[in-house]
Amino acid sequence: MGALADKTVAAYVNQHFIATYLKVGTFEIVGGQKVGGNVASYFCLPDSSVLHAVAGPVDAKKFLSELRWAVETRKAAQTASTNLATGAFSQAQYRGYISQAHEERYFAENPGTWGGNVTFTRAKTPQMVVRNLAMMPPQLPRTASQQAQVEWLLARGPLTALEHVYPVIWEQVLGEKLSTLPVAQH
Amino acid sequence: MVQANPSKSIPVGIFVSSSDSRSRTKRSTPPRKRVVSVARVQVGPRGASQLWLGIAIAGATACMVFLVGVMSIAVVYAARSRAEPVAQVTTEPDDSTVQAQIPPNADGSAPGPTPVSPEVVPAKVEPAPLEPAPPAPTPADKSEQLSPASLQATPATVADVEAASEDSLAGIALPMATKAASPPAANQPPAIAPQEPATCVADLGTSIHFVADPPEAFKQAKKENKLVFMLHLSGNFEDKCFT
Repeated sequence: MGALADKTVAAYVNQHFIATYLKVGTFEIVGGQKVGGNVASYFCLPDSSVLHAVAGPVDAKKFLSELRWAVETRKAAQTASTNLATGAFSQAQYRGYISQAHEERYFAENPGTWGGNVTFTRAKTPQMVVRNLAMMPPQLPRTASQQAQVEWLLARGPLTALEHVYPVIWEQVLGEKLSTLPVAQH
Repeated sequence: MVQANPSKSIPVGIFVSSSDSRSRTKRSTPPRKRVVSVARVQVGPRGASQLWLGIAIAGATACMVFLVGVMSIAVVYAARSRAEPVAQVTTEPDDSTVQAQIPPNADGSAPGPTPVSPEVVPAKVEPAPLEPAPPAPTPADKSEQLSPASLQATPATVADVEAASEDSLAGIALPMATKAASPPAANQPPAIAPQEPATCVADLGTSIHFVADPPEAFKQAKKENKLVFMLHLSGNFEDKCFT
């Protein structure tokens, strides 16, 4: 993944993230050529809930943008769900904020699916949240881009635990197979 | 009566009888049959000793010949028994079981009746280089019929086995499998470059500090109030060739 070699990306990751990695799939090397294999990046809270995800390899610019989006969205969600006067924190508001952020990203990734000239409006009431969700496809939009599918998934289930999210992204979005087998050379 | 003639000497062997000697000596020619019979009687004590001596000599000679023959056979047999391992190793290089069991003095262990595993065979065939046999065939010469024995006959493999402990035997099986599965050209490094030790394990070729243990990463993120960047991938992130 070339984006990780970028110094700006690395500096940002080291500043805001604790990086780790895990092998979840495998691929084959046939005649010296790599066959199969993929990568997925998850930005999680310390309790393993997924704040954001990036499916597949992206360049450094895109990856840095996603990193910043995750950090800024978390910051905005914390601020929006916290009573600044009392310091009380609302987990429901926090989840709602994250969900709407992914809804906005989903429609930004698929502008045609929004329907006509209607633009996304951030919900300020529970009724508006329900309305925005109702405008999203009921099932995983397989015809949409991979990143749009990720946004749909995280909008439907914001802050879901990583162990529940990554199998869907790895197998249904990326089309890979979870495997513990080592890399095979032929 | 025949008078005794003093001019004639009494023949030996005749003067035995105790009967009338005059009458006998008086005869010009004594009866042959009687002389013979007397001679048999007279010759008895001396001839018997000579006869027994001859028999003893002949017997001793026969025994000597027999002993010499037995000794020569024993010497030849011993020489053959010493030369047998050389002959078998040189003439039957593919029979790994025979090679492993014949030279019991290679490492001091007695040959066992159980089949020897291929990994142990080279250690017991160790005296092979001492033999005046033709040089061991190279893997290139025997690429079509590669057997465990032929593979282990190569000096490199034997040296590896000698230097290796039981833990490293698995590592020796790898070049064997490579040889057996592919032509001799496979002895060279594969097309993929071998795994290089990472310059910094924590960075894994990037400027990002990676925590190898995901639970530790989440624990550290909670402590530092940071997010966790979890990278899922297929392959080995430590190896650039496999990511």
